[in-house]
Parts: sequence; structure tokens; C-alpha cells
Amino acid sequence: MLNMFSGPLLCGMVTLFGSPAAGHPHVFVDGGVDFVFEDHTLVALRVTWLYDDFETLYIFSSYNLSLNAQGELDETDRKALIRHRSDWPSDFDGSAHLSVDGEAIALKWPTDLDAQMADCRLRVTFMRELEEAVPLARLVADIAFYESTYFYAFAVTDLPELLGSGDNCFAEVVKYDRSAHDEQLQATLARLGREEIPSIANVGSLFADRIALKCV
Amino acid sequence: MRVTLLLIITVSVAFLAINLLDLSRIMLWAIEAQRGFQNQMAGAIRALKAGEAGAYTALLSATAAYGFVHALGPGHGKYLVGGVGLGTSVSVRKLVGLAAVSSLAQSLWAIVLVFGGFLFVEVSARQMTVMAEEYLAPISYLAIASIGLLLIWRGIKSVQRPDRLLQASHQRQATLPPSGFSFARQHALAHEGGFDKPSIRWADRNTSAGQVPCEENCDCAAHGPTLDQVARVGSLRDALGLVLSIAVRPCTGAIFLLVIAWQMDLAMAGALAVVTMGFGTAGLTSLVAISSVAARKVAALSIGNSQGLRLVMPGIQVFSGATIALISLSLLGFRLTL
Repeated sequence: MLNMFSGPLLCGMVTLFGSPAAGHPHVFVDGGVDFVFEDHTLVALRVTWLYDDFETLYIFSSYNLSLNAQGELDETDRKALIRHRSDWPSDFDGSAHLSVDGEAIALKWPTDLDAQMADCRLRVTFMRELEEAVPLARLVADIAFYESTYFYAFAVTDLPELLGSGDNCFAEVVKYDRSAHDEQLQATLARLGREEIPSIANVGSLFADRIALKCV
Repeated sequence: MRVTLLLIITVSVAFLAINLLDLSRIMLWAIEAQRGFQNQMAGAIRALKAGEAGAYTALLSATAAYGFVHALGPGHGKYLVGGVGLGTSVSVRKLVGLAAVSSLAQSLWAIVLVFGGFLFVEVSARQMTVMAEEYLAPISYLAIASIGLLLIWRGIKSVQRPDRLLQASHQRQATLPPSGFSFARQHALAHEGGFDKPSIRWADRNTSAGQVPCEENCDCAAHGPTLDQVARVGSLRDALGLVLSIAVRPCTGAIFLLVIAWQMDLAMAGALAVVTMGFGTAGLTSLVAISSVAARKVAALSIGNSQGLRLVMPGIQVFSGATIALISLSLLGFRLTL
């Protein structure tokens, strides 16, 4: 009986081994979010994206740009890159998702984009102003750092900076902790090719690193 | 009845294995590993640009390793190679050869597309990946699904009339492999009814079977190809179909690397790197080839007698074909609904 089963069992294993795998995410982006305060209100987020070495080279190539002999970008190329990147795609979802007391807070379209090379990696920063400034008194805010389709896997690697008059505020990074259930889901997503979109809406949020901001 | 029972058991056990075995970690590891090798590739490209010694070795070893882990991802024909290894009596050497040729053909196709595109059509990098993923990938899925359907058809055909075919062909078996269930063997058996000369095409079995003017000692070559020739034609056609269905979809990792290499005036290094990436991919698909043939042999051993084999092997072939077709068509369907 055991013999009779061993063949089919191996069939299954081979078929499984031969199934498609390893898709989403396709691009890894490190970085983080800083907070900009003015007049005891939170007025903007400053978002930082730090691309992988390979993605950095690919981004340059796709804009017909190239690193110079020192492994840096010439100033004219850097300006050209900033121009290209400032033209945000219509489906851009920001990567920094702010909520206050569980309510999503609307952010304006990105501004003030800058691009620099940092240890062979492209570092892009930009500002997201809040549609309406939020008072700091007893503020409990949460920023989830993700892209909704999980094509890009964002990770908070920079400690959040508090810029301006945010003296009574504290920001803490809460790294995503992968559960067994998430592992299964991520493995399913790993089957998707570059042009495919996951069927679960906002799936990226499930694996997001977060920043908790509290003001007293 | 026995075939149906075995088929049900096979599918159930495969289903259980798929759901119980935890391959999540392997997939997640593969994605992390790709990230690491990609960055090594980037470092090697920068080193090459700066004229550093050892940069070539670093680039080629990183791309080979990347090719291996990247092949765990979508595409590269793993399930086709695995299904063919399981469902037909192709030899392990031949299947490994086919898997390797497919991977290398895929690399060469990527080089032709990207460099040709930049040289003659001035396409953008983005257009290149869109073409690969939105047009060539569905073509590949469709071709692979067709092979799956062909396997099902051949499996069913051999269940329906194995005895009649075997009896009718017993005189000519000497020219065929002694055992197994190869494409070539089935192709030859299917042709047993005769050929409608002068063209080599399927003949109406009912009419031509009685018309074949061939006595035991006659020279079949006089009125059509010999079974051996047919076997060769069949297996060549099968082999070409398998290679092309995989190779038509270039690997996105290869496209990215070629785009970067072209832009950094390192076209030759990029092409060489993509060929070694193909060797890495071939390494993984060869493993699939070896394990699938091994699994089929274990299955055959566990069944034992030839009567059982004659019933079960077609079942496994149908199962393999169905798996190949289902996976391909579902991937294709997913794309078409986007």
C-alpha cells in the first residue's frame, strides 16, 4: 500500500516544485518618514526612499542616465533625474499612509523632490503636506509605510526625525512582525509576475512597517 | 475502473501534498536571495565600469547565482519540464538537455530583443518589460498549455487502445525503445495505422490500416518513413515545441541587466552575464528535470508489473498534462482579465 502511494506522492511534490513562484515584491525600498511641525501643529511628512543598488542602476538606465567614473551622478544628470521623478504617476499612492485616532488623513500631492546618491544607492526625498494641519495636543498618529499592491516592499530603516516645534512628541518605529498566516499570503503573492496585480485590495498594508507618533 | 481509482488517488495525494507541504519559506528565501544577488550584480557592474580587477568574475558568478534563484519565480518552464519528466518516458539526460537548451535559448532571445530593440527600434526599457510580460508571457503560457493538452490527449489515446496498438505493432517493436511511454513511442504507435504518402500526416486509421501494403519483411521506407524516422521527427518536433514555448518569454531579470549594461556601454559584459544567468536557470530547471524523472521511476517501481504500468502511466501522463494546462491557462486567464 505504501508503495502504491509513494509514486503519486512524489508526483505531487514534483508538480509542486515545478509550480511558479517568487514574484511580488519586485522592488525593495528602504527609508522612512520624518515629521514637520509648525505652530504646534503637524503640517507635513517628509518621505525618504532608498533604492537597492540594482534598482538604482536600472532607474538611471531607464532615463538614459549613467553614473560617472566616481560612481556618482553628474549634476546635470541629477537635475534631469529630479525632473523625471517629479512627474509622479497618476496611481502614486504615497507610501506614507497617515491616520490620526484611526481616521485616515488626506495628504497633498508630493512636492520638493530631491535625489542624491548615498553609498551607491539612490536616495529620493519629498514632502507630503497635510490637507489640513493637525493640532499636536494629545495627538496619537500612525504612519504605515507601504505601497498598496506590494509590488514595492517598503521598509522603515531610518529613525524618524521631528522637524520644527514638536518638543512634546515622540516617534517610535514598529517593525512589521511576520506571522505564520502572513507567510502563507506572502508566498501566494510571490507567485505574481511584474505585470500582475494582487486580488486583495491594499494588500501591502498587511506587511507594513509603522511609525507611531504621540504628543503630550 | 482501476485507472479511475488510481487517478483519483493521484490527484488527491498531489492536492494534499501541495497544501500540506510548507514551501512558503523557500519562496520567501528565494526573493531575499534574489535581492542579495541583484545587488552583487550591481556592485560588479560598477566595478567593471571602474576597471577593477576581478569584476568580470564577480559579475558572472553573481548572475549565475541570480539565474538559479530567479528561476524559482514565474516563468522558465519548470512545471512544463517537471510535467514532461513525470508524464512521458523521456530520458533524464534528454530532459536535462532540453531544460538547459530552453534556458540558454531564453537568454539569447533576451539579448536579441533588448540589443536589437535599442539598435533598430529605439524602444524604451519600460516598453521592453511590457512586451515581455504582457505579450510574450501569454504566448508562452498558451504554448505550454497546448503541450499539456497534447499530453492529456496522448495519455487518453493510449488508455483507450493500448492493447490493440501493441498487438498491431508487435512485429515492429524492435525498432522502438524496449519499455516506457515516450513521446516517440506513442507517436510511432499512433502512426501504426499507416501513412498517407507522400506527405507525412495523420492517416484515417479505419481505412488505411487495411491498406498498408507492407508485409513483415518489406521495406517500409519505400512507401513512407520508418517508425524510427517518425520517432525522430516526433521527438524533434516535441523538443522544439518545449524549448520554444519556454524561451519565447525572456526573463525580466535578464532584460533589466541588459538595459543597464547597454546604457553603461558594457554591452558585451551584459550579454555574457545573461548567458551565465541562463546557465544558472538551467541548473534549477535541470534539478526539476532530474527529480521529475526520478519520481516517475519510483512510481513505476512501486507499481511493479507491466500490466499495471500500462494502465497507470497514461494516468500519470494525463495528470501531468492537466496540471501543466491548468497552471498555464489560469495564469493566462489572470492576464486576460486584467
